[in-house]
Amino acid sequence: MDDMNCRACLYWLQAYIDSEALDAEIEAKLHAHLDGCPKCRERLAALELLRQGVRERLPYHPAPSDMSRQVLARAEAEERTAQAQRAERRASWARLALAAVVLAIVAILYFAASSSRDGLAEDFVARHEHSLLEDHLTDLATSDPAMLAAWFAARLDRAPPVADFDRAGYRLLGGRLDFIEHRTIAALVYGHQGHPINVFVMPATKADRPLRRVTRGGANLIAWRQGQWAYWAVADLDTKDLQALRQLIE
Amino acid sequence: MNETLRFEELIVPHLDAAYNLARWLTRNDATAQEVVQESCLRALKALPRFRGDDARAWLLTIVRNQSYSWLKKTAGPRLVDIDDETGLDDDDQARLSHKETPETWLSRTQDRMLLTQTLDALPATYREVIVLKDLEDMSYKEIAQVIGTPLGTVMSRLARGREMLRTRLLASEWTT
Repeated sequence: MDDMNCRACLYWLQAYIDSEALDAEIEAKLHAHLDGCPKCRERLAALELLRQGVRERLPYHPAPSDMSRQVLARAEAEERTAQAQRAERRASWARLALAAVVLAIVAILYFAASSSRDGLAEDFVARHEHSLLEDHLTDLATSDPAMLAAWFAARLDRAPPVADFDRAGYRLLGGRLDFIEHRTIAALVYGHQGHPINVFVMPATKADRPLRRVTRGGANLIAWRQGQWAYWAVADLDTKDLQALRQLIE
Repeated sequence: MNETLRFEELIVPHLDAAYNLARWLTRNDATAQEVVQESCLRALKALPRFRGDDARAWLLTIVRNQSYSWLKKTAGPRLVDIDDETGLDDDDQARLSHKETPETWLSRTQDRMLLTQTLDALPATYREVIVLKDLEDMSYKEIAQVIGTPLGTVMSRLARGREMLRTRLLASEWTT
């Protein structure tokens, strides 16, 4: 370090009066400076008096006696609050998870239901194609609605309403009994612009939705519900031609 | 509970030191209580991570930080100005050394009220090293840890702080 001057001396004097370990060389220089500097000797005396006065006279502020108890009480209170918050968070996660599970189940049931209905749509398209291939379009070929209605009434528990729309371009060609989902149902056959239309009619169930459209392998299908009857109309025709027939039936 | 045991073992023995430092830094009983409680809660949370061997210095570091946060919040950064001068010029110094007879000086260092007021009026950075050294009797190394400075800074702040204390004690109007 630099040579010991009064400024450096004041600095090292602190360590000296506080009994901090001093480097031997510095301590020697400090003593040498003090020996030759009355002002710094006075300063040392003043510092020692000050230090003594401070140590003996300055108030020491001890902690209030219940401080540790207060801290522990606050820590416990905070822990309880934190626990309550964690529990609340867990509960809301649980609620969220439950909601997600419920939603997933509903979605699965919904898609299962609609896919089973879609499966039904496949069946109707298959029956439609089958009726064309086998050249077995009708069991009873008639354009007389009353005759066809009577024919169905003799063969089904509940006979569907039958109507002819020849003047609107949908000529009643006849009717057929078909077999879908282990049930015997009525198939009405209409002709429109040279294309046969199969209209499957059966008692409606809750799963039948008001209106839906499906396209399967070139055939269009619309299904709708009307009162107690579910209709499935299939043809190799544009959907809007099927919609026109639906409006006629309704 | 393990945490409570460690709290009893590591923190409770130093509550007085914590309160004394907080009280000298904030100069207010209610604030010191709040500061120490808050510091202890922080220490309690940090306890599982505490690996040192000087729990007192560790706790006082937290107390000091909390005290300074409070000081900054209530009085703005001016209150913790490090470069506060003694406020005395050379003429004052000359007049003071004239007053500084050993008798006067001795009586002034024995006046509890005067000492307290004068130390309270010092900037916090000088006040804290004097409190930690002379009231808490910490080593320079421990003080350096608490105030987060090198050892040399502890020494220069003590030199400056004690010098300020000395000149201000002498400058005060003396009444018997």
